[in-house]
Amino acid sequence: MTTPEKLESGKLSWMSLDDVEARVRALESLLVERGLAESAAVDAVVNAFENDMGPMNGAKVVARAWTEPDFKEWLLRDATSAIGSMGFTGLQSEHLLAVENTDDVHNVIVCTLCSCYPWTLLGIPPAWFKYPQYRARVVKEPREVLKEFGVELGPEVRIDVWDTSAELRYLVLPQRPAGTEGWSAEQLAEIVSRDSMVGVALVSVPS
Amino acid sequence: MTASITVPDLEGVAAIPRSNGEPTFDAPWQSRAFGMVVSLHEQGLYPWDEFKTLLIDEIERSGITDTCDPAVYYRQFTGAFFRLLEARGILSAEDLEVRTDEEKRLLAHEDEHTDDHGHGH
Repeated sequence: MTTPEKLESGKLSWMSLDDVEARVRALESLLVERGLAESAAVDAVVNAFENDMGPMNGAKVVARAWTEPDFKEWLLRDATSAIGSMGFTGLQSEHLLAVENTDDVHNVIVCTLCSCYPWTLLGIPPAWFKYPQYRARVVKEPREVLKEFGVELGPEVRIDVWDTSAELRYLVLPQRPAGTEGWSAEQLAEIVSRDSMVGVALVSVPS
Repeated sequence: MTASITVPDLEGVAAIPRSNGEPTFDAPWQSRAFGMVVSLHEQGLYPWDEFKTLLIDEIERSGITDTCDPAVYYRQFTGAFFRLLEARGILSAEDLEVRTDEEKRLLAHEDEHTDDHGHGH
């Protein structure tokens, strides 16, 4: 058993403890017992971190760009600051670049080296994002890969493939679909899918 | 109900481990430790920087500053958390010691239970 003295600051690093699991459980049960922590609140943080941190954050960014021209201009000029101003930062130091889909250009994101991904905006990446097939093929034959995702682009549309790295991550600003005139940013955010912000889907109005 | 969760900022040497850019935990105790630190901060028990300073110190003191291994990082993380609680008089090493022994017994019992039945719950 580790004596209390050994745990005092500066005397023993937690690195060498073999019962760290029991210690963490002890910390939680003591804090809960003293009314300082609530297990449900701890669960909520963990869930938010693991599951819910996106893609709603990214969708909010897109919806705001669709409804506020000044914000859109800022987003395209300096996505790191524009997105940071909405509070979606932290835990990562890489820069963000927003790329806009238009009638002439369609953008799609890949990470050819590994699977870097703007997860604070888009949540946990989909499994296919990590598949070597996607990583290799979307660079070589993007039009074909997009077709497999159900996105058929006319020959006049240029496809730009952006290769994410640990330092620079991309967010696709999809085109706002017709039929959404007068919608609020909240309504719009609900129809912006994760895939549309990776560039493998278009945003459509649910029928 | 998750919109209120603010993601704290931890960069450089104190950055959260990630597998290919994703944050990772490889054992439940790691996510519990993370959740406790963030939720108590959100409740206003301490400013984030107070924790961050201790975490950086803990990482530097351990001599392992460049790991992506969550098992190492969350030890440093938990060490910093305990130091914070201790410094603020919230928990003592003795409190923790006594409760840890209880939890160890419970864990051992759970293991036994799992072995008996050949599967967990």
